[in-house]
Amino acid sequence: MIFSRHPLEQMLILSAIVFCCGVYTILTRKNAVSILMGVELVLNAANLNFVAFSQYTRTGGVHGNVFTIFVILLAAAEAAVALAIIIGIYQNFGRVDVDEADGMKE
Amino acid sequence: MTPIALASWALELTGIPVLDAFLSILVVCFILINFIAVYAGISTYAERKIAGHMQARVGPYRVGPHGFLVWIADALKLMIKEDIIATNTDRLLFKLSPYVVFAGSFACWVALPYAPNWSPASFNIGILYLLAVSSAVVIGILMAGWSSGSKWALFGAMRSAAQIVSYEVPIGITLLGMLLIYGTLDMQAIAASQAKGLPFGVMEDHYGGLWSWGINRWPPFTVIAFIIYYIGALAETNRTPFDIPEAESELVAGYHTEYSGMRFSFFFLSEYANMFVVSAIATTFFLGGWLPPAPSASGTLLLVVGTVVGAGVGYGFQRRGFDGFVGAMLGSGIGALVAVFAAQPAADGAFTGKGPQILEGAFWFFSKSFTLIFVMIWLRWTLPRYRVDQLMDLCWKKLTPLALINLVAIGILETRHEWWALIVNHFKAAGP
Amino acid sequence: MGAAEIVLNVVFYVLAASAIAGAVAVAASRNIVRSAFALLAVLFSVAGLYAVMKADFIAGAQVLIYVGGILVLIIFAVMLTHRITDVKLSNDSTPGPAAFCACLCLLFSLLVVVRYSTKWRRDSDTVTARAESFEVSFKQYQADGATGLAFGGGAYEDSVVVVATVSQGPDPLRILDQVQFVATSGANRVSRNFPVAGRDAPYRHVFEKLSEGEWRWTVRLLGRQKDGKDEVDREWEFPLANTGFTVTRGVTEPIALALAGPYLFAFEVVSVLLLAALVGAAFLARKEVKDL
Repeated sequence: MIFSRHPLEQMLILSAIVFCCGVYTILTRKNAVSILMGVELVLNAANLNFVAFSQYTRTGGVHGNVFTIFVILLAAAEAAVALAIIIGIYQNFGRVDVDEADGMKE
Repeated sequence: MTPIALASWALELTGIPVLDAFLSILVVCFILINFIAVYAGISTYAERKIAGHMQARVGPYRVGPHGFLVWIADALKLMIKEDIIATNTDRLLFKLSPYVVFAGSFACWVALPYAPNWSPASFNIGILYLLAVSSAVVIGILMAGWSSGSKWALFGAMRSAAQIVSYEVPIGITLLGMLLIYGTLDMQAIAASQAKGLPFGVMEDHYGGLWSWGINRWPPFTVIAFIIYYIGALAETNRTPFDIPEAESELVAGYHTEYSGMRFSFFFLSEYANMFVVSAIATTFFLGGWLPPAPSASGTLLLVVGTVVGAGVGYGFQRRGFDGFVGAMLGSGIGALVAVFAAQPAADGAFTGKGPQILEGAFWFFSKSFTLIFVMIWLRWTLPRYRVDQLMDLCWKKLTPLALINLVAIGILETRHEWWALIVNHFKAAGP
Repeated sequence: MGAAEIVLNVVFYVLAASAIAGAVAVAASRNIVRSAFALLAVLFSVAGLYAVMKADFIAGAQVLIYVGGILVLIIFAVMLTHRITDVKLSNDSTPGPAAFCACLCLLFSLLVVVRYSTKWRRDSDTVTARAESFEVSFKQYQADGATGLAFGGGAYEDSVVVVATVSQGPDPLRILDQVQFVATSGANRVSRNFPVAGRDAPYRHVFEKLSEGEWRWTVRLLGRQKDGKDEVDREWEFPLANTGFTVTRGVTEPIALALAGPYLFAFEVVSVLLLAALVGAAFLARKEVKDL
């Protein structure tokens, strides 16, 4: 079935699939950088929904788009801090597996 | 009418609109790719020839008149060379990366304003698109460096990526300052809005020729912005003095060390394509895009005659410490000063471009861009190379703060009416 | 269906396929650098999908920030935290049938919610206006003809669909000939005349290639009125106050207005947060200075 001009439902299905791939990545990976990639997938799926819903708001405005901008900016901040932390972990443990960074236990 | 519309008009072959739409896009891309290839070939010839003359050599001389056809011979050689893929490579990414790099720089070409209302695709978000798409080049370079499985390539790629990402910051901030002046992201609108206004915001309805261009809008600041942009552009295209990623003496050839034949030539093409893109952005933002240097034909004539006469007079007085170059500068300067008072065009739509104005606009756009490319080549054979730490120091400690100050200054100047009104209203409210 | 729509459909499916393929590769690839480059495919496809949804500014920002910034950072982190001279970098994952099943269940429930439990289409506002014995009820839709466009809202494209019904009260003296829709924006004016259809039949028209600006609607009925034995030409006008829509080119300007208006505080907070993240990341990643 070919959709009409505004592919809302298809967009939601697509973002659900991307979201689940992201969740699977976060759940199964050991490497911290890979987990970060999973987080980016989840955020992208959410952004797709924001933009898709944007044209269905009351006034047909751009509120969804503005939220997407905020999410992208927060993702940038999050990636910068997370990668700094990952490099710190690497300097301390020599690896970036999240299972092994358990120094707080002792 | 955009070229795509023109192509779709010429190509109503199938009669099926969808197929025609795809076909016309393909035709435009085909023309553009061929144009890039020819342009890159001729620029390599120009680069070698200019380098030769600067070092008191003749440069390539054998193939064709003055060696002009050497670029065709070079292209043939690259095409028939053996394509080597080393054992220790990641084959998929190794094969993919030249295309990613080339796609990144090629995609920029469709959004450039070549002539009035004449871009292959007209984007509402022109400059944002250009900045965004060119970042694909970084990814391609990292891909190439990593998949080569070689230290030289990897270090070259890491250096290159760090350099490009860093220099995107001052470039972005300076362009942001200029965007405050233009108030639009559309490249065509930016070029068109430089037809009017004189420096320091006086006589905003006067067609001032080159005095209305972006670089002359708020003199000290916009000129600084242009210089910052140009330095950043040199770094973005990995040109000397910022060619650390492919420093021959240290890294063999940087990220494309392991490439040969056609794959290597894709990197090569994209480097030259990128040079044109950054020059074209500089032309559009600072040098009036496709606008002629004087508001009317008589003014332009005056400018050209002034340059030629000045060069001639300077050449005549060469013995007295006064040469043709200085003479040309003085002559064109006087011509430019007078050209401001040239006849004003009759209507606002004088530069919107109809008929021969497209050719005229394309002439000015390309001559300005090629002048900037010439300066790039000139610098390459003049300046020594920076060290990595000096490069980062220049970017983060000098250019970025300067660009920020510049941005604030231009912002204040552009909103001066509001500030003025604020001050006046304050005193009015406080007064008797 | 027009050519543009078919092209848009094809583009959507190509982009969706590459987004899904990239996402699966990110989740499943054995090689962490391959995962990173698969993420590139996802990010570019998502940017393309934004463009399909007319959010051009978001598409640009997505590529600029995600590809030019975040992805480069991620690749750098991969290269800094592995012995990269070895091309075949492993990317360990705990083999997780449980995680896989959980994700499948999540996906299934999301799809069910999307498909069956919510009605996504939004209808338009309706305005009803009267003049003498006539009554006009009036709706406006986005260009797809199915998504309602609230009065005063922004049209996503430069075309708008209008649906109106006209009902005539029990008045044999007034005869209706033509129904006219007029949209005005400053000096621009577009209109469309319809011959009268049957009782309560809807009048539907797509206004295309509207210029930028705020548009206002007027509905006019042209007809005759019997005055004794003579017939007099009459016009009934419905000015439809508080209806209309705005056409903008792209979403850049509306986003700028929203960021400088209702979202100003959030915007400032985010910029302070970014600055804090910048300082924090630089502090965390710096080399330890041993002898101070």
